[in-house]
Amino acid sequence: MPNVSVTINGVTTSVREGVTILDSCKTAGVEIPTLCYHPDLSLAGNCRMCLVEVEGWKTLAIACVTPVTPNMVINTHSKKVRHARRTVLKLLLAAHNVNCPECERNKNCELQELAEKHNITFNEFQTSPKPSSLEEVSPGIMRDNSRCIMCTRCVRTCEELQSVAVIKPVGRSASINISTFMDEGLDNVPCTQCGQCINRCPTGALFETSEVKQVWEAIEDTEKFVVVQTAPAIRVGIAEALGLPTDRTTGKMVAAIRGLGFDRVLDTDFTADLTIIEEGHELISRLKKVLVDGDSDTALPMTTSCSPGWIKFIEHKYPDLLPNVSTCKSPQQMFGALSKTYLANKEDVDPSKVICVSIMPCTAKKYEKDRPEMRDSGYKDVDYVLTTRELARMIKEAGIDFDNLRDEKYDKWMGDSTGAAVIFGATGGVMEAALRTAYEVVTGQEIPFEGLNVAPVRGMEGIKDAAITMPDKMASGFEFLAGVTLKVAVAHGLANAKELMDKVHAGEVDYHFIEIMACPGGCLGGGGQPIPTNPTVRKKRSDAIYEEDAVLHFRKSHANPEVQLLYAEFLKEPLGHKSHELLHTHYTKRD
Amino acid sequence: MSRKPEDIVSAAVVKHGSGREAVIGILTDVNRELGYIPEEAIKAIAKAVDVSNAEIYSVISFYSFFSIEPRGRNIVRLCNTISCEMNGSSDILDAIEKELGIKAGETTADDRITLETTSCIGLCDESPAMLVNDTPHTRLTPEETRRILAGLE
Repeated sequence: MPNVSVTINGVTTSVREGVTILDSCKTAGVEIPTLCYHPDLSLAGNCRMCLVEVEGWKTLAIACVTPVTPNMVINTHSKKVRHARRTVLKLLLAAHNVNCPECERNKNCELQELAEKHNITFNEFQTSPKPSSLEEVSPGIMRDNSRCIMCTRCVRTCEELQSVAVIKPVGRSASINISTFMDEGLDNVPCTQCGQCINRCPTGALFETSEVKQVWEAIEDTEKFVVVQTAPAIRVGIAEALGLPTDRTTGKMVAAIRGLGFDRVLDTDFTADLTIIEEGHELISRLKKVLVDGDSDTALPMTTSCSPGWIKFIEHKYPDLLPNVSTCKSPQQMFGALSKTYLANKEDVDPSKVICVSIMPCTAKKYEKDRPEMRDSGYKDVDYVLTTRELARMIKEAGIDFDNLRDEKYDKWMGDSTGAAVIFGATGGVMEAALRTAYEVVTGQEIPFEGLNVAPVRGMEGIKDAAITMPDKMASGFEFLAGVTLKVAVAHGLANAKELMDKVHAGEVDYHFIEIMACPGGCLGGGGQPIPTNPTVRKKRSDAIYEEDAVLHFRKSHANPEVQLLYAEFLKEPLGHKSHELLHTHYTKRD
Repeated sequence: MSRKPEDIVSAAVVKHGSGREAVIGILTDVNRELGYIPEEAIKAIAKAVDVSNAEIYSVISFYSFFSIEPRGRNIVRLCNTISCEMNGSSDILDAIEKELGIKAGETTADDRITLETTSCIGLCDESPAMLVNDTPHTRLTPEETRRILAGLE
């Protein structure tokens, strides 16, 4: 497309023909307010916040959906525009439950921010208060329709990014709502509980099902031994949730959590490393069964199982591919099972007194911990799950000055981490970590990538793949893999996962191992992470994750000293008896 | 013996195709034959068109001529928009409700008539107006309305 000349607020500039007025204004440094627009989603043009005046046009233009034309003269804050925007905003506010202090998104709300920016001090359209109407309660996600402004960002997220499409506008005009099939509720439809809708809601209509209250109660109960695990992506998200710039703040985060009163602060990274050992051996075992034994019952490609949104998705969409999913529990659930067995024993506490709390970048983890099969320790393996945002609320409530904390270290037994575990938080990270370990197990040598960085599986491309050919000389017992080219693929965001799995289903691809993360960007973009999310934010979090990997002393899962100790003293061997009892699981076909 | 919802959908898909643009046609066929669109039909349509159940449900909810609940053999739709209102549609509504013993949105116990109110049906110049099934009736009086109702099977 050629460039065209446009004039924005009296300044003439050159932009690519066909770009929207909104994008050309952004390029020119002119901010236009938006609500239904989101950089991850298709254009809807339904909220009318972004109205601008175009000279010669009878009506105002919707900046987010109107392409520029040659010599267009645009005014973004003329009297007419300001009046129209204020009216739009007031009408939206009049149909909104404006009880901001009681809203999860207070001070993190796009509607509130626009009201402040546009100096809405009086709203003549506000005729009566709109009471809270909690329409939706599910394990991970809640919806209060009194706060919904019908921008449909959640609807587009669910369909376009996740190809789940379980929420849609239902009804018409004044009686319209976002709802589910037959209004059955998210818990009764194929919702994956990923929470991506929450991350894109401009108001507080969608939010996580909070367990902050229960966690405070557990901490305050002196009878309980409350252990907390932090997922890899929290350390690059918590600063943002506290209003600070994106940064890796592992040490401060540990200090802040300890300050809240938990008895032990431990790391999901520990069980991420453990997952790699178990899953890596599972992959090798499957390869052997297929390549050497010719076993037709063993399913390949094997897919990862860390992402509970992905698990629920495949249970609904591809039930016949469930044998392909690794039987490894997610790191959160491995941690839970070990916290009430191995750790209770190490700490000499009664496992019935152990309360296991997870801090997760995820709302589906709240659903996962309630799955009936997740009780292999003899207790509920994980008791409570908090999102990054909920942790931030607790830190704020406790008055902890996060930015000025001194770095602290995790407690022992289940607190060691490696770079391989940290990168679980980014798309491609589990694959890279698995390759670092599996390659070394079968060849006896480090994976032949500069600095152990498996570049082909990194980055934000929706579907990535790589092929790694094994050398001729293999470690003893793995000769069957000599010269074999291992083919792997990585997808993030369930729409990408669907594209990839459709090919697997049709037999069009011959991958051996596939990593899938339900959320765009992987866990760093999870439904429990700070809001907003967009490509820029996710890139920053991803950079922080790979920085953390680069500075850690151990960068391979099998080098984790505490994981080595766990095998020596408790599990004995990968895929052994204890592992099967505590660390592996099964899946359920769903409609 | 009426056809199963799934069979009606299959036939409608043959007729209208299985693209998203076929949804309204398929829904119309099902709604016409059964008087409503049952859950099994919604699921069958979603599967045939390869969209989610929620999407079909959303489309149905947008159109007042589609229903997800069984309705009476006859559907009376009385216009409640301003021109009809000014020419006495509320008196007509009173007359119908009294005559049938049901409120708008309800169906008579013998499944003979479902009463609904509707937005403008484009007969303002002959208001008050109503639709009985696909037939418009205009310049209604309470008496005339009762006569029309009495003639419904």
